Amino acid sequence: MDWREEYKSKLVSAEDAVKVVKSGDRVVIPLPAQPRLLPHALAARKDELRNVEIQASAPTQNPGWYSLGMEESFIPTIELFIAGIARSSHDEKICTYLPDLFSLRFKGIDERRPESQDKQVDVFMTVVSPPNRHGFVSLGASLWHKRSYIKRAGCVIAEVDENQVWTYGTSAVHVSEIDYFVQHTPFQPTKEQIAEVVAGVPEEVRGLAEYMFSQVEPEYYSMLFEMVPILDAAGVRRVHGMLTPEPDEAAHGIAENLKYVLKDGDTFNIGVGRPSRFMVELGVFDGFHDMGIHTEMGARGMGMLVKKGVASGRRKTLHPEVAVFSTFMGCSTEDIEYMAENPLFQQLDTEYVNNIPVVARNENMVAINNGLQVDLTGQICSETQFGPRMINGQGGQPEMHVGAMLAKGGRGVTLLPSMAVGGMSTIVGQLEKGSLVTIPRQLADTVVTEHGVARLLDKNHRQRAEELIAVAHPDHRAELRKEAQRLFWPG
Amino acid sequence: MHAHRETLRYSKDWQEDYKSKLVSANEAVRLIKSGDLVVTPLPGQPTILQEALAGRAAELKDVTIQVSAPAQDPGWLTMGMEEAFRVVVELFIGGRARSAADERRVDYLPDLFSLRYKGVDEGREESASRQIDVFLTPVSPPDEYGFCSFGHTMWHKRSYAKRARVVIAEVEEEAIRTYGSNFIHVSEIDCFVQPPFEPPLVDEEWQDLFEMFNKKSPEEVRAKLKMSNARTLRTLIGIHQVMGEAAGNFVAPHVGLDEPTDAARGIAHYLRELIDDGDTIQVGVGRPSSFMVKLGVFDERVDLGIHTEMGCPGLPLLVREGIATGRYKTLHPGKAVFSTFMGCDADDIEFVADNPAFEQYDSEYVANIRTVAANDNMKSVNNGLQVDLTGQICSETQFGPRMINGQGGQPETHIGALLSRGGRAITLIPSTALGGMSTIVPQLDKGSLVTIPRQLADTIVTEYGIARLLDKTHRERANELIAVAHPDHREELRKEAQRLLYP
Repeated sequence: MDWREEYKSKLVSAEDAVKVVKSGDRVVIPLPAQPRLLPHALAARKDELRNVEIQASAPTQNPGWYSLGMEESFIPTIELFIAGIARSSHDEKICTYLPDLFSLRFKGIDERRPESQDKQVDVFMTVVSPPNRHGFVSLGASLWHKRSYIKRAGCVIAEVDENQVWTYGTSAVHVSEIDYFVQHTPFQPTKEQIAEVVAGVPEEVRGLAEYMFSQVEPEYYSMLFEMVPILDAAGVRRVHGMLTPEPDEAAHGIAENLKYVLKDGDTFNIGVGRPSRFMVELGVFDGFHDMGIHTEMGARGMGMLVKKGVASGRRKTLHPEVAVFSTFMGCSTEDIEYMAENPLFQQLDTEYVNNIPVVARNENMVAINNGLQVDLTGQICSETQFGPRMINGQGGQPEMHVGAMLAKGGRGVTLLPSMAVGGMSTIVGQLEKGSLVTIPRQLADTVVTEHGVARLLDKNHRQRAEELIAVAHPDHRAELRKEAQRLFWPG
Repeated sequence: MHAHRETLRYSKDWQEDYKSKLVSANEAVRLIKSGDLVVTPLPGQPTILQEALAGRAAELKDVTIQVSAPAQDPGWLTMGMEEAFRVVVELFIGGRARSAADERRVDYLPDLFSLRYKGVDEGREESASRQIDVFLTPVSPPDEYGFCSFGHTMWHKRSYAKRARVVIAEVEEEAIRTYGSNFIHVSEIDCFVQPPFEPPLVDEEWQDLFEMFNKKSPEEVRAKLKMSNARTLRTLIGIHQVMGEAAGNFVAPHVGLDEPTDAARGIAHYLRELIDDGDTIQVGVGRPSSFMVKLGVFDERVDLGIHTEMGCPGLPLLVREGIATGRYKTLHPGKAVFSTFMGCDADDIEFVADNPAFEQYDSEYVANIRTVAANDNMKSVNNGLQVDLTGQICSETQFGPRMINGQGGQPETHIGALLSRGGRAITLIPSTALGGMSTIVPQLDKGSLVTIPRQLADTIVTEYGIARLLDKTHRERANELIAVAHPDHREELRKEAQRLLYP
């Protein structure tokens, strides 16, 4: 069959598409961008369905199953990132968490482990572009693990969104690999429409509005467009704080210190979250010429690093001259405009990009991730802080960090503001009961706070304590010194 | 590094070189200065060199002594020498240093075999103080080409010797030779000391040892202890004289003369299910893993391969029995690869000496995550002390912050096995400890040290069954683990799981 006919025959409504889901199925919704109609259509079937597992990552909407009331029909599971919408649901233990790694996600199924047979993905829901002339559809600027799931799922349903861009790499699948298509293109304003809206905001914040439209992630683009016309100056400032947050003082300090950890010719990864997402725009990389990019995801300004000649990728030992991402997510609209259809940028499957031996093949690989808490032996918690409550999942951090450690000349860098909300020290004597360790201390390397750089590799417990206390907030150092004395010295 | 030494390698004049380097232990340790970093490796360790160095306590200041599972205490593990020597333990604490660690008189260096030299090799500024000044090691006498071996316990010895400023070797007449990279040239060593002749044990002394381990037959005791040199055996006799009857039980696990517990037998029963024909196996040090071979876990299999950091009783004999042919190994096919044969019995060692079916390579290579992962169907078998319901594995602490042991090569062999195609990372945990407390706990106590983070936890085996954690959510993991917990604790764990993981 010609792919065009095949495509036409697979076009259905969202309601019809989700009829394929049966009780007891396992449905996966990937990392954003996520389908918008399909989850709601599925949630509407709650009375007919029982025990459908919904596995999602950083969900961007709640069709109902993240609140109480649907637990007979749907069992929500979170993998990789919890993020805003699911956080309270996870706090209330309505959803459970799947601790996994990008490169181990499909191990059990692919290697036919008997215990993983019930982990087959029955239905996978995703967003794609309309097909090109060869019958391929693009997974947009946010490939992540989407193609990996498509290759393995029993049934794939795709929402066709005309705004999804094309990129180099492995971010395309063929129409024949998808079972149903649902057409849904969320509104996206044109440049002219935006110019018109920007012209309408109070003059004092017009520059800010313009900046927001260039820097906001595409995910929030149309939302911003709808909000801006109804805002006063104060409102614009508030939205600016929400959608294009500015780095705080700690992030500025950390950026200054991070510069000393990097050298020209390094290949780097930038993890999601704060403060790492600010490092590019704070100019950490600007003095360099031959940096390389091998990263799970993006950060505002990362595409521009290539344009500006900062990240030439010339000295990369894997994919030289090409900036490798598993997703462009995190980058600004301005970045993505430059990165789409640009052969200097590739999106490759996360199971490859984050695979520890793949990361390790990049000489001078620097993994830049965020920690929430570290104890004086160097155990890094990036998911919990001051106890068992999970604030987020680990994402690809363990893989990028361990891979960088195994790379020749590589470094595992953890950014850690010295204080958490309320002034508590994030550097602590011991981890509280129920803490979850993301990076064990044998693999801890370089911890950067706004007060300096703690270098833990090759250090004993006592030396690690000294290194960490020296970069703790000054208000907490005396207390930590006492703790270190008690924990590591005879007495 | 040491370029001048390379020119001497393979030269015919090594005998002269060797002779000129033979000195007394006291003379040799004069090369050590205040402030130096001195490394003694994992066992076997030099004996008279350590004693000679400790003898200089009055003249030295701030010498760092880095040890792993020290077999002797020349004085720096007890109080009184802290001005002269600061002791740092890496990899394994072991019985001898445990009380010093408990009293926090020694410090701990958390590292990995494959990251040990990263900082120094890559010229990191912060690692400059980690440059090893002096390395003390046992070696065999040189062969006809001037090469010495590290006997049956290579570990990281060659790695340290290649990087140390000064290498001082203690010559052990009995040290065997093996294939692999288990060699170092006379030219690479700065001085040699020869321990005084130690006469073999006389019958009365053997009688003393038989009495000490009277739960075992004299034949078994002799077979087990034959690999230890006379000096070490006399130390055991000394312990017996000091401790009396209690000594046997105390020492037995250290020399492999203890009996597997019921839990170990139960674990062996389930572990068997997880091993397939054609797998490549690694067996970690400690209890209960080191009983697994003798308990017959691998006996029904064919074409196994061995790629392991260390040995355990009977592991090399799997090759002799035709069980471990190495036929399907994807790295070093046909060869059994070890970084040390430590942990093996005398019979095993006799079989591996000069036997090309066995190779010893540096631990920095054998335990390297990428090397391990290059073995398809790699099954790592390690021990855990405690696991929480999310799957965080503690192999160093149990019920709180006290370190019972170091991590050894566990993180590397475990992660490597997970990344191997068809690989599986197996953690053995007896379901109870310390007189009945559950080792499966709802949450880790304050100050616990996590050796394997839960994202990397895979398969846990207790005497009650197998918990499969890969691909499982927190709730599913709790169910899996509770099902293999001790029956007396399941009810309580179920309640806790309900509280922690459900609305």
